[in-house]
Amino acid sequence: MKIVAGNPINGGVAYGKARLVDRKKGNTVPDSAKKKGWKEFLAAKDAAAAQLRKAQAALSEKLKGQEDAGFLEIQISFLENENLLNTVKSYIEEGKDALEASKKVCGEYVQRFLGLDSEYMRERAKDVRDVFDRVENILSGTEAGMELEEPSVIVCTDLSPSETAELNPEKVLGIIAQKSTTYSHMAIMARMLGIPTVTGVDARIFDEPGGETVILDGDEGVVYINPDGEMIRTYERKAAADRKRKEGLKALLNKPACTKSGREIKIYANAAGEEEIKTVAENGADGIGLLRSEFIYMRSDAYPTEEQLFETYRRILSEMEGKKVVIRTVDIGADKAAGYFCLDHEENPAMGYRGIRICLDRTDLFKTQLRALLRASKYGNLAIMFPMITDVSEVKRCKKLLDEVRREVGSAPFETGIMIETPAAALISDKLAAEVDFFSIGTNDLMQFTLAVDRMNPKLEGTYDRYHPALLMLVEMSVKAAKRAGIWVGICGELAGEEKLTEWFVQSGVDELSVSASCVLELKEKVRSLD
Amino acid sequence: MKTFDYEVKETLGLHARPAQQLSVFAKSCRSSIRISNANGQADLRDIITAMLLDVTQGQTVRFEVEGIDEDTAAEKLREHVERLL
Repeated sequence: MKIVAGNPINGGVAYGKARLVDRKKGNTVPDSAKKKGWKEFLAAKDAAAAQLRKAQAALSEKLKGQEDAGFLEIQISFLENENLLNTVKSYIEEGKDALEASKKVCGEYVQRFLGLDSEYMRERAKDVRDVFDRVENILSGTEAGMELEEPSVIVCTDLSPSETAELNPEKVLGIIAQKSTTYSHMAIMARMLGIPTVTGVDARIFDEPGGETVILDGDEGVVYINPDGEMIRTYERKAAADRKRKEGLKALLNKPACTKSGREIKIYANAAGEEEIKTVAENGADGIGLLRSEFIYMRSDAYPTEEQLFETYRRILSEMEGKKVVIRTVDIGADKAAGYFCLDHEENPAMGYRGIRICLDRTDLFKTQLRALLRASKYGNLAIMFPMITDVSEVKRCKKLLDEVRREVGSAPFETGIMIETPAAALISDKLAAEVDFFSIGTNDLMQFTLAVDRMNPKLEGTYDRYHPALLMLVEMSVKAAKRAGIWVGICGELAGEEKLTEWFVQSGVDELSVSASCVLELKEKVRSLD
Repeated sequence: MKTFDYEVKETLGLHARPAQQLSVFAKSCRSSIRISNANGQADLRDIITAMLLDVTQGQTVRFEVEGIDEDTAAEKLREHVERLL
């Protein structure tokens, strides 16, 4: 048995025979092909476009309503492009035959795309090559494509856009590829079709043309070639368990997380980017419990303008379609700063000039963000949350600035809350509860400050109790303070998803748990299993 | 001629989806529509040249609409652009 480690691209387990797939290139071109001219090129172009349209129709059906990335349509557009066709025509008129002209024009466009700055655009060179290959194959009469007699795990260098589009999840159990990039069609399609995929594996470790049995672990990024009986049994169990779980969980998508006695807990998801919103919705989250504003600041070379902030918030609020979005104001510090903040190096950034301290000091920065938030409030269900609070006076100052901004730009109704992530905040939670509409208990930082542990320090890994009674006492204190004041309280941070604590949270009176999108359904299941 | 500038918000810039849809829209107009950025200019009906402009997030691009129906075309174009880009 050979074990090979690669990069996990899409999770799940595949078990089957490996099949090497690499595009066949016609090396010998039949003589008759050499005399083909403009008429033949046009006919081949039309035939290629027809094939692509057919592939597009099949793909749309396979994706069952999900949108694909538009790659096949782009290829069809390339084929219909006037400039491109005229260039081919002029080469043919100069004396080249259709095949030569095609290859030359292909090369030219490929170079132009490869010369662009953005990675996404450079990847489009593959679409150019792919579409010309298709035309050339038709011109020279060679067959292109992947014929699989039985369901197999395919092994390849990379898949062309159209090969990816032709992937049949019933025939392709898994994909092992040598190279692939984030924007590659293959990675995107594998995720959409749910095909376990691993990259970074040299295809040469397989004998041509394949036939070895493999187990592909898309979660760990490991490939087992000719696995022994024990490994097979382990994975068969894992695969069956995975399938069962997924089916069971899907049924929970639109069901609320209610305990058997009817108490509903909101299960929200954390997000740190617009692209995560779709996943949040797909996983049935009731809302977003923590939108980390830092992503907007960190993806920019300069302070984001009010417009940029407003647009981002507006889009996210709209996309969540009325479900609550709890947006935390920017919590940047010397450890995760964007350079343009010009923050001095600090010995102790976790306890330094960060988060709300920067905002209350650089009020223009803070007010810009608040204006953007208030303007965006009309587009959805907004809750604003302030990080790193230790004092009632901080909350009062935040609220005063909010009032000023509200007088400037107006707003729709929204909630104001704070993160309880310092022991101080937990200990004075009664006083804080009187000032806000909700608490969100940030258990990561709260644990860090309570146990005096740097959670990033590898030396301390495993030396402390993550369910330390001191931490749980502070959580309980904050939850009770919230309940007495009649405000809602949620938990975010790693503890929110710990199923050992779910029952305790629910019994203490926690209203909401915010976890990563992929954990939402499992947590719903847990809550529903409680009395 | 109607002109307007636009700051690209879309994370992947003028990627396949918006390029395709804007190109289809441009073909349906009687006016000509040009898009330009620091890298050059393109007729929006020519999807390849438009994509080769490497329009990315954060860039400001200029749209120029010229022709018989330029008023309505420019307005519709702006709606499409704000939605797609």
